[in-house]
Amino acid sequence: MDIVWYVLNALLEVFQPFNVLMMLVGLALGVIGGMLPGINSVTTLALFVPFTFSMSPYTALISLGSIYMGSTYGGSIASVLINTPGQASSIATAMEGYPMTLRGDSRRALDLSLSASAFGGVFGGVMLLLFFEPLSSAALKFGSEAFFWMGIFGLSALATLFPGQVVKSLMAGFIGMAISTIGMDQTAGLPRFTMGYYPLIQGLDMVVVMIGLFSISQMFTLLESDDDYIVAEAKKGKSFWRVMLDTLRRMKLLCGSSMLGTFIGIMPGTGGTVASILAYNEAKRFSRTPEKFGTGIDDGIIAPESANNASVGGALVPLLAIGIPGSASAAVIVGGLMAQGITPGPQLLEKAPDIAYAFIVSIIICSVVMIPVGWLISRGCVKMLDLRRKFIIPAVITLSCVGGYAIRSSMFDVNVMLLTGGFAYVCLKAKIQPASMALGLVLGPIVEENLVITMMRARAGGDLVDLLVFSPLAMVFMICSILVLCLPFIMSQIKKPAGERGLNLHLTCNLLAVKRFDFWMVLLIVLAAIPFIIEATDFQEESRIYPMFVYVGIVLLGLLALVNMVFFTYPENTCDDGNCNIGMCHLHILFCFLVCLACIQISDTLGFYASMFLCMLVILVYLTLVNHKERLTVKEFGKLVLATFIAILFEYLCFTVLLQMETPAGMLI
Amino acid sequence: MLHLTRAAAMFVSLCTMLLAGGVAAEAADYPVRPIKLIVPWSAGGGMDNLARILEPIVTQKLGKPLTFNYRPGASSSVGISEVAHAKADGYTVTVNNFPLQSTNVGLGIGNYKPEDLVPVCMVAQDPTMLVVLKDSPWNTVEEFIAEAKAKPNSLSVGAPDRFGPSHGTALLMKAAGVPINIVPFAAGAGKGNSAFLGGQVQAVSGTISSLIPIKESIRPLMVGSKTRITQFPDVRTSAEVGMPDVLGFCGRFFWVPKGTPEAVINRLDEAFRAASQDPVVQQRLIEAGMEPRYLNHKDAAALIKSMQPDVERLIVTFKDAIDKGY
Repeated sequence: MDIVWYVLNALLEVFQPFNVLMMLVGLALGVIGGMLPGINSVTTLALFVPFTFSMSPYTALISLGSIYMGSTYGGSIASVLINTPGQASSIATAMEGYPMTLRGDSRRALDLSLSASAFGGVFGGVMLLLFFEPLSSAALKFGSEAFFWMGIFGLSALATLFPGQVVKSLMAGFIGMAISTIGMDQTAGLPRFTMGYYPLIQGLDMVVVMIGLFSISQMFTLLESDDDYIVAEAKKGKSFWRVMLDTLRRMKLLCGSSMLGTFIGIMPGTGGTVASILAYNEAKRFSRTPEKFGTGIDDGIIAPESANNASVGGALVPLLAIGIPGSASAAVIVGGLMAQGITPGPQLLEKAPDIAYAFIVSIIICSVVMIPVGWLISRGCVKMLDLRRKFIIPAVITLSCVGGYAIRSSMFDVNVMLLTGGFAYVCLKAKIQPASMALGLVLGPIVEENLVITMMRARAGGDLVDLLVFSPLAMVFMICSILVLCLPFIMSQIKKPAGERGLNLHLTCNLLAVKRFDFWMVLLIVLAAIPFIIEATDFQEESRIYPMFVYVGIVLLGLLALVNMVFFTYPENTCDDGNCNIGMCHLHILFCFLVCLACIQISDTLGFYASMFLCMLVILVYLTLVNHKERLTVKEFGKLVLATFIAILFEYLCFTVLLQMETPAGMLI
Repeated sequence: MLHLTRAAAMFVSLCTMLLAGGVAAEAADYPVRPIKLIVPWSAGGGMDNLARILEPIVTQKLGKPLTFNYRPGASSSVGISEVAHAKADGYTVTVNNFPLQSTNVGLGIGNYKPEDLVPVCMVAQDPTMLVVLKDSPWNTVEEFIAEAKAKPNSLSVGAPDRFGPSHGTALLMKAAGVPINIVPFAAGAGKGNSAFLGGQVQAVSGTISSLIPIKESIRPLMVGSKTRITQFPDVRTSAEVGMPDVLGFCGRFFWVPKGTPEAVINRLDEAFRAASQDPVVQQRLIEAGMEPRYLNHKDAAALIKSMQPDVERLIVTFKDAIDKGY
């Protein structure tokens, strides 16, 4: 009954007034940090760690735990409202939440995500409290071979993510994997695919690419229409408590997703991102109405949001039980602890159980306290939708630039982000989905790293096939992946009437395909992949397999897509929505894109915030004059300047004042 | 009129002073603005922690804050390249490992020459250690080596930083005639440690700071340093077990670009010395697995010079590993 005693003591400690205050501060900081593009849990935590040096260990841990929890939730706010995931772990939420916003249900989406997050947080915390020892020894059984197949299992979701576009979705996933191969070969420790350009050696940062894929391309998509507002009319909807009850009624889904999230969190090196994507896919797979996913249904928000917050508790399991952080964020917490003179691991529970239990209990408490904090912040943010579209677009673009810069204080990254955004927009038009690319981007490195490690391990006497295929855990994941890849095909065969089973090959040669935009786009990507294949042939054995697989995969899938377009015309592939024709809106997009690029280039001389100011103002004036065809009076211009000033001031306050980020200062700031 | 002439004269003399004694005056007043500390590793990592532990006292001594800029990438090469090309006025300082900083150049990852940076001082060292699990059958390093020699390549040794100190030590051990199978892991997040605790590799060669979180489960066999270390005084050095070349030195240095005025370096050195000799700071460093060892900028430079043969040998060993594919 020791545990009850410790928990009661911990409760007393957590509810000390100063600790409660720091918990609130931590949650608010976390939610805001998580919401901002480029600032994820890891960054928010790392920036806060120095402040904990002067605190007691209890307060330090409580505030770090609250930041971790808050930021994991915070990402979903921006995802829901404007389809720009604040961090990678809320990509899945964006796929469901944004369609709800477009329908006018933004409040419901936010409330669902908040209540699911809180539930997930509590679930993960309780699992941590009760089972951390058995769970962590189970996690140690996961060798690199199991991780490899887990990654493949996650990637297999590409086949079902966008029904009717299987080939293109797989191809997009491979493009994402290809993006992650540029830079340093993590396992060989040498540069690859840098094309002789030194800055590429640092690789294309995952978060930077994500901001490009989602935030920037989404802003370009918003430029297509000249409506005044993003959402025609916001519905009042049910109150928060009603929505929370709706969420709790999906108990099976909540528990399943949270369980999955906790377990993924426990695995070293994987965190909320993988957890939320896998949970989303599982929810879709087990759903009775999988076809409704992607159109904005409750389950699609509940599953990923409960999973990523449950992963918080999970990531702390191995930290407390064996001293190994379960995620990058947990690794930062380790750093903070060590600086406090506390070594995480089993010795912490023996020598200072009161600190360890206060930490665990605070994770559970802060998940509950997150409800009012998150509610207030999300209600504030929902007001953003009352702004006119022309204000939102440049504000989010400049915010993304600052966020992209913040990750590695690198202008190179901002350029990469903008170029990725342009690329993602063009791909989107060719129905090559950024969400699939993101999946490849997240899971690709996990697959590669563990494949190489498994091969290295196999050199010590064992047989590679034995290790990679016939070890029990590998078998489980492998069979699951194969089933997942084949199931949709089998199901579609069963559902068809008996006479039509089998492949129906209606071979028609449709040469009109060459008039299609996506035809040329796919062809271009295939051609671009070929030099990479040539470079990869020179690599050493272990380092060659994965890049070869990825780039050859792109070529083969691309060719398959081309053949599809020419010989089998699928109705869903035809381009009848009019978006493929080049119109005025594309000129606007090109203009904005070039303005951003130009402003970034002059930011070293002019000063970062000054050039962001210029960027936003130019876009605003352009949109007012050209897109909305309004007259620009002095009064109107003054309004635009004021709006720009407020937006840039907000960015300055968030990044430079609050997060203490350094930006290049030229003539101005 | 007189006023005007006097003012003009003062202005002229002021200008002359500024032009002539500009550099010297700057060095004497140093620092007049915040100093940019480029951390070429991720925020929250070991190097960041080290700098954060020292920061309060350094800031107090210098009278101007250190602003932290994180420039991770290509195992510190990206950030170091930036510092190497920065203005040598003492307002750009960085913190990094030696010899890693030099071996990276040898491997073609760094866009700088090792001599482009000069040390401000060394504050701590973090040598590597070969460890096995507490319940493993090997009690001494001799037993481990005997088994490795009896069944070549059957024992896997994890190295949680490719081409870093841990990997280097493991490769040097292999070069010294111990046929082990080396499995490098990507740095950070404890992947190497968990594979080790999970029994997927039989031993791990890691820097002491990376092993501190799992110190309850390990049995240290050997430390890759010339002298024994305070944290694990019973663990024999590699020279004591007959492999003097198997060294895993990892010194934590602060650096400035070459050409920084001597007076500025002295000023910085003084501040870092005060910080690294503070008992509270030392206690924190030890708890984080780093052994405090302060060397002023002259001694640090001498150490780097004397270690040149070791650096060369490491680079050769790494290149050999690339050629042979492990």
